[in-house]
Amino acid sequence: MQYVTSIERRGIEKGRTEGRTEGSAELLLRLLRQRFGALEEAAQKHVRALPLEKLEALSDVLFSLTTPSDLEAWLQQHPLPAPNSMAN
Amino acid sequence: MPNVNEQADYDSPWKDILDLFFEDAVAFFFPSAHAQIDWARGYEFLDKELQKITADAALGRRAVDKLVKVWLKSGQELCVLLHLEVQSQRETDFATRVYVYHFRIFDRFNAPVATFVILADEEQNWRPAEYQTALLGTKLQFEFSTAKLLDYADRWDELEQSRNPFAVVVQAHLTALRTRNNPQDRLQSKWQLTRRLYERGFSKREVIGLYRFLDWVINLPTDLAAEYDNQLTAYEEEQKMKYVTSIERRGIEKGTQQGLKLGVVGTALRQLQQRFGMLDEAIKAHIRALPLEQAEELTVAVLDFKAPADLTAWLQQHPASAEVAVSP
Repeated sequence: MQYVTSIERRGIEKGRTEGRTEGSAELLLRLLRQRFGALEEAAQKHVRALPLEKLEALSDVLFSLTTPSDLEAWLQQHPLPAPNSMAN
Repeated sequence: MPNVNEQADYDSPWKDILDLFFEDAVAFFFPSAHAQIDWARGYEFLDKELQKITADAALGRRAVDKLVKVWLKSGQELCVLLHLEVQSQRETDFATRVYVYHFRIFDRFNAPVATFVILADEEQNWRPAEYQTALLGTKLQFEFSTAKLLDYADRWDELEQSRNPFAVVVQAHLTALRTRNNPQDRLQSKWQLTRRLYERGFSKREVIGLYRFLDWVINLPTDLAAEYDNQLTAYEEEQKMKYVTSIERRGIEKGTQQGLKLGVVGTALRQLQQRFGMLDEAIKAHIRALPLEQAEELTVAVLDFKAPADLTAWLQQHPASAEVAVSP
């Protein structure tokens, strides 16, 4: 068995978290478009910026959203955290 | 503390480091032999052949063998057997078995053989070096060259100054043994050795090869390993030598691919459970083993599913492929 260095393992973990969030977000957007047609730019940005737990919550209520305004309401209830000025 | 059994699962780092720096290994441990070999003529690994002829007579459970064809400066062609033993084999008739290896190589290649043994074990007094028999007028005296890694503990300053990668390998090995029960000392010593890689002027290829070995042999408990990784990446940043950081980047790329799949599969499973309640383990396993695009297709198809039977039918048309399964 090939040894995987600790730094590479750390990279894999980081990548998995990022990829998992990105994969969920993109798929959810696809499902939302399927349901509601093209989405507002702002809504797309909002979904892409949600953390994984929120994406999962959105995925769970997807069937109960029947109109674009249901989606808007849901997004309003799940605002993004204020941008951190220290982050780059 | 580091789990010794877990580490024993991979002896490949010893093999990797010998592959990478074979000539340096000979120069470091057996300098007079090194001086007689015509390195400019190149050398050839014959490891596959070796496996065939020694499959039934493995020398040690934790051992690495390199069989290499080289030429002497005199023009003579010969085989070099380099055997590294990680654990002492006091209980076995080690020297006899070295002789058996030696003879099989001679017989197979019909060429002279030089045998070198590196003893990386912890028993100061285990020093096999010869095999002999004398019966009814038939005498055999077989001697081979050995290097005992423990012996280098007295030559630390010399190792510290050396530009040979194997000086670092030996330092790392001895450090791993010395600090086995002292995690803080282990972290400090590992970091010092690592930083010296950059100061000694090793090339990028050498630094990465040695780092991989160091990281494996001086293994740390999880929290200290994270401290070490942070120290190392900060140092590379500061020195503008992003050697090891490139390994992390490769990890991130690999991880992102796995993560995308996990994200998609996770969403697919949530959608289905939302619709049809808890799913069978077999169905979940099937979905996890779908290729990425199909897992996406499924999630879209779910929107039109009316009953669990639709899912079963869909899965029958999309068989799982074992190679792409990713565990969460």
